[in-house]
Amino acid sequence: MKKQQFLSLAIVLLTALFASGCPARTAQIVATRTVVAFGSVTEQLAQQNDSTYTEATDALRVRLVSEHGTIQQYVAAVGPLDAAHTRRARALARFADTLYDAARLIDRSREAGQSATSYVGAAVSILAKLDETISLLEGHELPALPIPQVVRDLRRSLQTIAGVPTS
Amino acid sequence: MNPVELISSILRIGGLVSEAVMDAMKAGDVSAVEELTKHLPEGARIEARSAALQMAQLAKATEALKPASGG
Repeated sequence: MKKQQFLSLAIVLLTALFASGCPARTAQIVATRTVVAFGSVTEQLAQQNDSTYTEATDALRVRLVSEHGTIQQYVAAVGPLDAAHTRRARALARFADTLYDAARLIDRSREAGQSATSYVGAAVSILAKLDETISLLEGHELPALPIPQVVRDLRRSLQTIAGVPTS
Repeated sequence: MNPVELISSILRIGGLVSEAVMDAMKAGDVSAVEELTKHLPEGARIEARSAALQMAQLAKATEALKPASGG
């Protein structure tokens, strides 16, 4: 009898654990997939950043060789390219976190429904971080990098939450 | 090991690898830089890899633009 009571209690506890634990686990899996997906977006942009830098500096070196230039001329001309490449790399190093913050905020505001106005401040703040990195991906010293569609979609959703016109 | 200790040890390893990457870069050892950066966290890896690329491109330019000896 005592064993039966123990088994019943175990079944009740397992049922409760299953009922409460499953959504959390599902959410955890979704969050993990999101982090992995954003990691690949960031890595793809970082590789494109390196490729554009390599192409630009290869072209500079080839031009200087054909003009019988000097290493001093190369160092002077490569300075702005190095600075732009480094700025982009630093921004991209933090980009996955920003994208993940954006995704979490969008999910939370969707769950909140009518009370989503409380997320406006956070959306504006994340939007500013996102736009800062996107502006570095535009072409100045180095050619522009294409903004991935997932980043455009996140930005549009953040703009909607923040109440700013979507672009 | 609790999660805080685990994260701390990962950060410590990241710091040690970063130092080793810097040493390899100073020594001009590109293959060591590439190998070491695989062990860094993603963000640090992106920064270290771009710094190593700049170093490699400068080395190529130094070689290609070397003044002709003699004459």
